[in-house]
Amino acid sequence: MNDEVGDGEVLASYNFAYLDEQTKRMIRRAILKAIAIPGYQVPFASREMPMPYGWGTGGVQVTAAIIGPEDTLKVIDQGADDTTNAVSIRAFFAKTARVKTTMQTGKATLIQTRHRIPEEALTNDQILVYQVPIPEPLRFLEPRETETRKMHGLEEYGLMHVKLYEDIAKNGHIATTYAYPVKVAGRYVMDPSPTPKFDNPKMNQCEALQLFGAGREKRIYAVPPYTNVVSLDFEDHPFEVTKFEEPCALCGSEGAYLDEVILDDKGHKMFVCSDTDYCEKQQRKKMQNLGEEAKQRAFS
Amino acid sequence: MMGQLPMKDAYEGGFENPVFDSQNTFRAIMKAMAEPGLIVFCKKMTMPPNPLLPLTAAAFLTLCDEDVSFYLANESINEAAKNWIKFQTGARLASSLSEAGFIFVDSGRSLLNLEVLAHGTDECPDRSATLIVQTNGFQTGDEFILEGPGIKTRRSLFIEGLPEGFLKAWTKNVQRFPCGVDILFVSSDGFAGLPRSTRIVKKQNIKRNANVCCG
Repeated sequence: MNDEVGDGEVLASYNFAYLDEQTKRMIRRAILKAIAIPGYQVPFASREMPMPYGWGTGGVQVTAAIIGPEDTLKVIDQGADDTTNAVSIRAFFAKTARVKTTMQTGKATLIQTRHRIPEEALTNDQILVYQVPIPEPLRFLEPRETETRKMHGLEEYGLMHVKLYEDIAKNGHIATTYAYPVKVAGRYVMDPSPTPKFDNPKMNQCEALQLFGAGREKRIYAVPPYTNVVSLDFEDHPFEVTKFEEPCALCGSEGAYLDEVILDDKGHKMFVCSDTDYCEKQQRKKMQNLGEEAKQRAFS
Repeated sequence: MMGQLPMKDAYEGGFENPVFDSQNTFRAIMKAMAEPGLIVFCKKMTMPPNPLLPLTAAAFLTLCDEDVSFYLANESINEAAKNWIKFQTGARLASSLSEAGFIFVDSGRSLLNLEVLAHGTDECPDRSATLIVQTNGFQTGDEFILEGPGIKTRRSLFIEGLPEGFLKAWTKNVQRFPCGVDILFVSSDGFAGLPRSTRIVKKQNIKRNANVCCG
C-alpha cells in the first residue's frame, strides 16, 4: 500500500510508518497482552529495522505500530532532543509517517525515549515509548531464559533482593543507579530500561501509558496509567533518588536530573539538565523574571 | 455514517482505508484496555453482516489475520458473519473454544464458562484468549465498580445484558492472574476494556450516567 501524502509525493516502497500491516497487527496484539499483564514481557516477532540493534529498534517498532497521522511525536535520547539517536528516529518518522514532530514535552502526544523520563509531568493523553536493551531484570543473575521465565511465573524474586543486599554489603548502600528494578502492580519485577533511578518515582502512578520495546531481545512490556510501580528496597535501606549538590549551571533549577559536562582538560566541569526541553523552558522563565525585576526597578 | 445491513457479501464492508482505519481503531482499543472501564468512542468504519456491530468488525479487522484463530461463541451466529471475518481477516476458524485466540460473544449471553478458554500458563500467561463481547450499550444495565492498574481510584462501568453469574466468573478469572482472559466490550459507538488485571469490587443496579471519553 502506498502512503499518498498531501504534497503529491508518494513513498512508493514503504507502508505508512515503515512497517507492513501484518507486522503492526502482531505488535498491536503483543501490546494489548502487555497492558493486560503489567510488567510481564510479551515475546514478539521483532523485525529487522533500518538501524542497528541497540539503537532503539524495539521502541521504533512499538511507535510504528501505534502512531497515526494525528500524532505529534517527540523523541529524546538521554533527555535531549538534539542528539544523534533522537534526531535520526525523529527524521525517520517524519519521513515514513509524515507526522508532526516537536521538541516540547507538553505538545507531544507520543514520546519515544532512550533512557530518560521527561521532567515535566506527563498527562493522560500522552504515551511514552521506551527503547529497551535488556528487558529481563534477572538476566545478569540467571542467564537461562527457561529459568527466568519460571522465576517470574513463581514470583520468585529472592535472587534480586540478594543482589541488592550484596550491593549494601560491599558498598554500604544500594549502588545500583540505573536500570533499578521495580515491582509493577504488586506482581512482576520489571527492568525500567536503563533510565537513572532518579526517574523511577515518575513511573509510579504515571498518568501516561508507558510501553517498552526491546528489538534484539524481542520483548514488549507495558505499565498502564495509574499503576503502582515500586522500586525494590529494604526497610533499613529504603530506596533513595539521586541528589545533586548544585543546581543546573544553565537554568539554575534544582530537583532535575543533571549530566556532567567536561569543559577542558584541566578538570573543569559543569552540571546541566539532561532534559533539554525542560532546561530551555527554565532558562526562558529565568530571563522573563529578570526582565520583570529590571522593569520594576526602573519604575520604582 | 455507515449503518448495518442484514445479509451482506463477505467481500464488502471492510475498512475503506485499511492502514489508517485500523490504526484509529487500535488506538481506541488500546486506550480502552489501558484504562479499564473507560468508554472510548470510535467512529464506524465498517459495514459487517448481522449480528456483528461495525466496531466489533473493526476490532476483528484490526487484531486478526492468518496468524490467529477465532471462534463465534453463540450458536445462533450465522454463516454470513463467520464467512465475513474469515474472508476479511484471513484468520482461521478454531475447532473449539479452548483453541481460539479471539472469541466473539453476542450480548454476553454465553459468557459464563471462562474456564474452558485458553488462559495461558504461569510461564507464558500471554498465550490466552481475548473475548470481544457485544453489549447493548454502556448507559444502563448493571453497574460494576472496578479497581486495578489503569484506574486512578475506582471507576464505574455500566454494561447492559450481562448474564447473572458474570461477577462470579470474572472473580475467578482475576484470581488466576497473571493467567486469565481479557474482555473487550463493544457497543454501537464505543469500546470498554476489562483486562484480567481489573477487579470488580462491587456490582449494583443503580442507574446513572457512565463515564465517557472521546478517544
